[in-house]
Amino acid sequence: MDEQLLPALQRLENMLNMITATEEDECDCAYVDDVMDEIAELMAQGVDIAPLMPAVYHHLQLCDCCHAEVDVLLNILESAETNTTP
Amino acid sequence: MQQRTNDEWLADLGAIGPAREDAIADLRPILLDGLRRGLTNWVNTSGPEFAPMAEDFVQEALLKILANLETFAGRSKFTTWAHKITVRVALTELRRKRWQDRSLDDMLSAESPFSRSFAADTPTPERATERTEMMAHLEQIITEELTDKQREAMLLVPIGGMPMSEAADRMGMKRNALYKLLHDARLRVKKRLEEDGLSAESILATFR
Repeated sequence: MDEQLLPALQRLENMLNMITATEEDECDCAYVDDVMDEIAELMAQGVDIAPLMPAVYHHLQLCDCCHAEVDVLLNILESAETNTTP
Repeated sequence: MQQRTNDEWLADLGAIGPAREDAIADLRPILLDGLRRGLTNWVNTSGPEFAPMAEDFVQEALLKILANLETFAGRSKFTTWAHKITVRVALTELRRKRWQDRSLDDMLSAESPFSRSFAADTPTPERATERTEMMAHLEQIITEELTDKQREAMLLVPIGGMPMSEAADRMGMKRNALYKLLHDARLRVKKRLEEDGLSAESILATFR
């Protein structure tokens, strides 16, 4: 396959995957932001949020920004458990 | 450093005078330490440039925290909520720096899969025709179903890989509004693909 075709195909695949995953009703970034501190604490305790908050979990699969923010927040909380700082 | 409950944080940061100054002085190093531990996958947190950058992020975050104390719902530790705001400030700025050299016009032309020929390097002329027709069909769906703004958003985020916050900034929108715009766009294209008997897998199979 030609080298230029692969990134173009990956872009096409990204778009199609997001379209396929689309649901009629999705929660938005504002809602996820409201609960982000709460879900990060749950995740840091080892709770699987997929069955608990399916709409939030689905949003995190589609929104790279919210996903990244939860990841960093989780890093902070999990590393705090091995330190003393909150 | 004084240990505080959520209510004590709210009371002290909402007060006027030394209690507030003491609380800010206690919160600042907590947030700085959080960034140092949390951003390890984003920047070199042990490099000399990190400390002044983190100070700027925390300063901006503290202003937001103080201005939004009444929105703290109490469903988490106060410090987790404060970290959340600081993380948002930091990642928004780090994304901006990462994408600052990419112009919107370049993104809109270069990132479109419709702007290049998929017909090249195909094993047979029939295959080339099949690919060309599939791309034309997809482009037609996107042109017919989406508004100009929705097309622009689709090219920047799902196709171009630009973070939602950065794309929203470039398009003069709030991130939440962009998510809703993209959701409507994805939904319209999904329904049209279903009407036309197409799936993501069948489309991608044409190019493999």
